[in-house]
Amino acid sequence: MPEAISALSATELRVAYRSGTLSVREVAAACLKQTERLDPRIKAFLHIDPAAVLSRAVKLDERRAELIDSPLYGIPVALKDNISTAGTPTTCGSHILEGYIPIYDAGVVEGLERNGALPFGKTNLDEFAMGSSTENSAYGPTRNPWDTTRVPGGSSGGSAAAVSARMVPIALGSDTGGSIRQPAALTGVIGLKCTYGLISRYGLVAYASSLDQIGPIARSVEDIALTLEAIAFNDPRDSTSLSDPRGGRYLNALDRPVTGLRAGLPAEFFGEGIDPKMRTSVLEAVKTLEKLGIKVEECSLPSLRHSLPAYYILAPAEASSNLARFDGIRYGPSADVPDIIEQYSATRGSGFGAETQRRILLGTFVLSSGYYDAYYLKAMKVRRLIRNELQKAFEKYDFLISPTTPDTAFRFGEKTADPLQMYLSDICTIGANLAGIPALSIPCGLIEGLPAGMQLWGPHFGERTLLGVAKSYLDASGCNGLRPQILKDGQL
Amino acid sequence: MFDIQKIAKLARLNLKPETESELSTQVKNILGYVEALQAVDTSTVEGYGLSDASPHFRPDEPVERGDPELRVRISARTQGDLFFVPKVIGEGDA
Repeated sequence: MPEAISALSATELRVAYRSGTLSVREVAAACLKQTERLDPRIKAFLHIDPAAVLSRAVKLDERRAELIDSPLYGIPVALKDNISTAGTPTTCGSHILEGYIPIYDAGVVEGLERNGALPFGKTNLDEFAMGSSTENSAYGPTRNPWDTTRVPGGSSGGSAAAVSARMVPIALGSDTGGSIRQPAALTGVIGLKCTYGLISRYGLVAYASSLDQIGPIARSVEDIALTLEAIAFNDPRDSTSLSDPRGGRYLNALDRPVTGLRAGLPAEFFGEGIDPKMRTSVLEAVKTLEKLGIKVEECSLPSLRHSLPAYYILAPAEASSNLARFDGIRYGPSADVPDIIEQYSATRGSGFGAETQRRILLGTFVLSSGYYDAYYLKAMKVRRLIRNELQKAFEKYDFLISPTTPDTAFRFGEKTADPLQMYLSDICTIGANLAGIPALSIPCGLIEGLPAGMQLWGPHFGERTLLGVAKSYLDASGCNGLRPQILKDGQL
Repeated sequence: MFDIQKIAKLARLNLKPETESELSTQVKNILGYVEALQAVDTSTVEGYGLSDASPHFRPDEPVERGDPELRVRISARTQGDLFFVPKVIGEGDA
């Protein structure tokens, strides 16, 4: 049974490697087999080279003595396809980067390899990480392992689905407005958006640079902490990269006592726009937290109501600037026309999909002469207001609690006709990106057979507290390792 | 006001004629939604965005970042070890 091995967490694999009961090659082969079985239906991966994965696995077996103590020795890690990988295609889910093969690795890929990890393949995403369902991928959507008629969330939907379907124990995603946490919630796994700057963005194809953060998706909190040990480091090639002033040691945080911690429950996330069943599910989880000795009280953060409109000014503004580099000259396909401006316009017109074009148009407009102050500067002021309000909240609370999403996974096509409806999928997650704070999504049960996610928000560099609380909650609640329907289907 | 043809030209985007009208309506709807921010009182908010910290600067020194030939090779159209671009200067510009 390939799943028996591929379903092991990174933490369990480390034990097996240490005892010598498994080799990296055996694990790689099991993960490849599971991917071969399930990915024709799930479509989590855009690119995978089994021969290269096995070859790297053999090399890792040969380096066992040197790397065995590294946090991710021999652990297969899938990478969202907006993370640059030297010699491997990186399409960002876009036709405009079809055939593009980077000549350098992203900082996080270097971090993974330095720590013995096995890069496993590139996962599907909404084009340039713009979306909440993977329906904006130029290469077709990924399907949710819990119900293949439903979306896995996005934009890191391929990464979340690959972890949920036990193809890999860990995947990296990127989160600009919820793109790690929302798909993690919809597929029943764990996803962490770190403090802005904690993880290098060097080699991450930029969507909105002041909001983008790479982060881990896994099935256990221990695996999230292990990944941070490998990829959270100061990288001078990213001018916004920071060193964790608390010195890392994320694994140690898992044993921290949670009794006596104070948590706030912002009323804004439990009212209009949130499905009552989701509200009930998260409030049930809150009862478990209270039983663990955490003091929870209701609070109000009124400025968070402005997160979504502020985001849909700032993110498209940054996107319109960042995506200017895709002009057909340096990367990807190029329109064959004699005029350079026409070459840019034709290449971009045919290479970008509808959502990307929408956001480029929106961003170009809000930055254009006569509108910059009213839109961009106003949104920057509101962003500061949101940051200030959250900072003040963290003077009183160790962490905040909300649902990760307003509802469970929706059906394909349900929200594609109206972009605003799709944008509302991220209403619970965007505030953390605007404030640059960490937020962790963990499973908190099932609603009509589909996973629900609870989100824990922390102050800057509060990852340890969130990991400790998540570990205690998951151990107490039994929501660890939820198994999606596709793993139970006899037909597979 | 949002004029899709003007903005598409600024954004260097050739839009498909059959999608232009729908795109324009969608962008206008989004602009209508974000308009709500105008009502937010930010008169007492000091500073902008995430941080007032000064940006980090790297020393202005050349750094080796891989083989330049490889950089050119990933382009769709090259001439020797150069990027190939259509003529930029027109007849009357010389």
